[in-house]
Parts: sequence; C-alpha cells; structure tokens
Amino acid sequence: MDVPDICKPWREKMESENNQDKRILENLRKDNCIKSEISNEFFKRLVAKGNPCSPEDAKNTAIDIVKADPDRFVCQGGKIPSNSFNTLFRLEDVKKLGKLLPDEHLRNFGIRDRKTLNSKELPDDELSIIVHMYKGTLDLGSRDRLDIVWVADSEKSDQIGLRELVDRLGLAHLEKEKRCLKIVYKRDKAEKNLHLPRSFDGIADGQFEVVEDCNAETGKTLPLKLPPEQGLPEAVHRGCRVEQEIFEVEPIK
Amino acid sequence: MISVERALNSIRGKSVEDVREFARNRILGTDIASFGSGHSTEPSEDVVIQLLVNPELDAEKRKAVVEGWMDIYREVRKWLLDGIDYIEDIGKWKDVVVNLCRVVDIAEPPEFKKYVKRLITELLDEESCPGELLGAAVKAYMAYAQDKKSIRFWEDEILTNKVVAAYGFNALLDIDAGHSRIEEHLCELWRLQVKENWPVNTAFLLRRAARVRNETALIYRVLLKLKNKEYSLWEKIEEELNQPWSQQWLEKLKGLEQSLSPKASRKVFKEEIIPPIKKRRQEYLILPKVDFEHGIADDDRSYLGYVKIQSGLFHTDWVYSIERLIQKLRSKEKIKSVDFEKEPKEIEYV
Repeated sequence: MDVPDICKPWREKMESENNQDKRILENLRKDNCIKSEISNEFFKRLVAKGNPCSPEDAKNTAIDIVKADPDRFVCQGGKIPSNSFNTLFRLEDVKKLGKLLPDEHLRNFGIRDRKTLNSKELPDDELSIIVHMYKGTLDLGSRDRLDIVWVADSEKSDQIGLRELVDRLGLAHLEKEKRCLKIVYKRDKAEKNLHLPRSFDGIADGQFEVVEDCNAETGKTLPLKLPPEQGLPEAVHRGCRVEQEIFEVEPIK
Repeated sequence: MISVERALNSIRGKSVEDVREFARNRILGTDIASFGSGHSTEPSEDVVIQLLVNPELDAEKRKAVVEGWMDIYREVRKWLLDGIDYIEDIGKWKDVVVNLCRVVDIAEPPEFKKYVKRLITELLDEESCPGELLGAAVKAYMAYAQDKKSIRFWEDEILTNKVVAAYGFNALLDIDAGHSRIEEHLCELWRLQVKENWPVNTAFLLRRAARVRNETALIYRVLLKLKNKEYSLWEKIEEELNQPWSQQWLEKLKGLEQSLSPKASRKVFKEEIIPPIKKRRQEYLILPKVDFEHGIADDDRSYLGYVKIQSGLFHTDWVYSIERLIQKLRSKEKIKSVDFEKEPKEIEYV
C-alpha cells in the first residue's frame, strides 16, 4: 500500500534512525493484500492524530490505532490451510509468567512477578516447579496490547536447538536470555483461526517481514543474525485461552 | 517500560497542577489523550513509574507526581472505608488498586511506604477483599521488606493470612534467612495447607528456604517434625511429596530414620536436628497507637507498648479486633499503664 503524502510527517519520523521503524514502514509499503478501504481508514486516523514528535511517538501512534480497533486491523490475512500447523509452538520470556499464569497460582509460591523472576531470585529448578505445578489453561495474547499471538509450526522446529531457534524465529527479546518458557498446543485447542501475518500485525515489531503473496500458505520469520532464508513458517491468531500440551522452562543453549 | 525521554516529554510544558492531574489519570487508566499522540502498548501507569525513578526530575514536578498518586490513594481509601458501595464497586477499583500498587512495587518511592502498609491493614479488614487486591498491596510492600523492624508485621499480619501467607514467608526469608522462627512457620503453614486448605505450596517454600540458607538439613528437620506430629497430617504431606522434585526427600528421610535406632533417632531428632530449646520462647504482642481518625498508626515505632503473652492466650492475628483486645487488656488489673514517651515497658499479662 502507498503511504499517502498527507502522512508525510509520520512517514519521515518512521524513516529516521531506527531500522526497526524503517522495516515497519517497509512492510506497510510491501503489503498489497489489505483492502484499500481499511488502509485508507488507517491513514486517515493517522493524520487525525497530529504530528508525531519522535520516531517512537510515530510508531506508538500506529500501534494505538491498530490496538483501538483490532477487529479491522489485526489477524486479517488469509487463513492458514487446515493441513499445516497442527501443533503450535511459542517461546516466551520468563518475565511473562505473571501474565501467563493466574495471580492465585503465583500467590501460592509467594512469587512477585517482576523482581523475583530473575535467575538469582528464582533458580531454574524453582521456576520449573512453579510451571510444573500449574495444571490449568494458559491465557495467550494480551488485551491491553495488540492481542495477537505469533506461532511457529512445532513440527518444523522440533529438531532445532533453542539458541538457534531464538535466532531463526527472530526473537530479539530472548537473544541474551539463558532460559525461556516453551509452550506447545494443538491448533484445534486455540479456538481462534490461524492467519497469514500482515503488516498491521507487525506494526509493533520491526523484526518481521511481510510475505507479499496474499495467498501464501504460511508467513516466514525473519532471523536475527542467520540468513533470511533460514526463517521458519509462522502464523498469527487472536489472543485466547489454550489447553497446553507442553508448558515448561527450557535453558537457551 | 517506556523510555525516560518519552516520560519526560509527556509532562514537558505542563504546570505542577497539570502534572498532578496527569499522574492521577495515568494511574486511573483514564488518560488517553494527553500522552503525545499515542499511548503505546505499555501499561498506563508506566509513565508514572518512569518519572518517579528519574533522579533528574525537577523536585516540584516529582512532588506533583507523588501528589497525583496520593490523590488516588485517598480515593481508594474512601472507597474502602465507606463500606456501602464496597462490594458493588470492586470491579471498578480493582485495576486502580493494582496500578497504584505496581507504581510502588517498581519505583519504590520512600514516601509511599507507610501508605501501602496502611492500605494493607485496611484491605485485611475487608473480609471479602479479593486476593488479587491484597496480593498487589503486599507485593508492593515487599519492595521495602529489607527492614528488620518489619519482621513482626510480616509474621503477625501477612503470614497469618490465608491469601498472602506465602508472600509473608518469602518476605521474612528476604529480611532474615536465619530467623529463628522460619522452621516453626514452615510447620504451621504445612498444617494449615493440609488441614485448612490454605492455598500455599509449603514444599516449595521449604525448598526455597533451604536454598537461601544453604542448609539442606532444614528440609529433614521440618519433615521429621511433621512426621512425628500427627499421622493423618503426615500421610497427606507424603502424598504431596510424590513429585519428581521432592520424592528424593522421602527416600533420604527413610534412609536417615533406618540408619538410626529408635532411641538414637529420637536423640538426633531432639538434639541435633532440632536444637534444644533452653527457654520457652514467649510471644510479644505489639500494641499500636490507635488513632480513631486514621486507624492504626503506620510507624513501627509508634506503639503503646507490648504485652508478654503466654502461649495460647491470644491469637496473634489480632488486627481484626484491636479495640476489643485493648478493652480486654485494660480491664485486667495486672496491666500497668504505658509510658508513651520512653521505651516501651514490658507489661505482663497473666
């Protein structure tokens, strides 16, 4: 889609300095699968927000619009065929434990979500106990954010070591971590449709490259350091509760 | 967390009154327009946290942010103390209290310590208080846990509360890992977990305590104590310990028992595993100053005095009936008057 000239101040901020922001802009330009009425609406709302002060401000303005109306802007890509992505896979930062698990579960262990979720306060074995003892469902996605869940195909990532997987999935926030949470669940337990990721889904994250073919059967991750062709199949779905097959703490090595 | 620059930009050019209003609205989650041209995906109160932790923030502006927090704190207290609409408005206030407490938890401003403590006391007074609210306040107060003077509070108020007992235990462990009552608390928590269905994972807390103290023997001392206490209790504990991470405890415990004759086992149990108690420990009940306008004083040093209690006379979970307790104590002739000015005198209650 073309970014119209009326959005010039926004576009200029997105183009300055930050490569991640440039990629977000690039994804919007490359994405020709979004209906023009939706993209026009997006740019109209963008203009109504006024002139952004900084690149960060520009990005947040875009996020803000998408977040305010997710039913129009996120998970709108083509549906992923039912014969793939049978088992879904995600790696999460340990710091997300407070969001993933219900408050009452963490309360049983006296664990504060922010200050005790580091390896000094909470060694791997203790963290594993907290995770192991949890028998309920997991709430994926976050209503105060874009509320979309990015997933990989478990079958395609089974044999890959976790350090390499972090790179190939483009998970910059896990690059320096020594451990993470592994979540595996069946596609039919997600209760939400799987979609091909589009530019609005990646509006908050520059580590994503939109697939130009609107009928592609899967998206593809953008690795951190490895060559782009080593990206893995990926898809998105809206936030929902899932019954997990595997939920465990894994060392990243 | 949003950037320092973005947080500062959000109050640039604002008057002190506007900054106060801004902080207030961010904690309430009602500000959607004043934060530049968007409010990103970060939680609403993040900007308040970022401003409070910034040492370069202008003193007047910082004060205004603190005042904004205080405004919400006062509104929350009003809601809690009014009583009439308490239950009806829980849904409305829950997120606000969680935001208010998260600011304290992360920014740890010294100014808020006494207010969070008072908030906990008031939440404890509400029998129907959701665990999430009490938990948020207790977690926030844990930010200030490194204070030996507060041990009594953690033991008497938090460890004795079903919903937040595990926080109380971990706070005690943070303050003084070698505290003499750690073992006793673990046994009591396990009893409450099994018998009264308290939502606490005592096995985890025991393991954690042993790790923090670097003392594996603690595990076996506690287990032996529980095993020798009551069979029905031990039976359930044994069942609970059938987890991959705790099964080895049972095996080691068996080995430990088999290697000792019954007599020696008793001796080890009494003299080595559990240090001999030379003198019966006495409980002291701290009587806070009661200010009828503001409730119980929040300064640990402001107390009427303390009462030596013989085991079993009073339950230490007394905060719910402080007035009744004081009346009861006053009616006893053997309680002497208390000197408010000097060091508290010990008053013996027999």
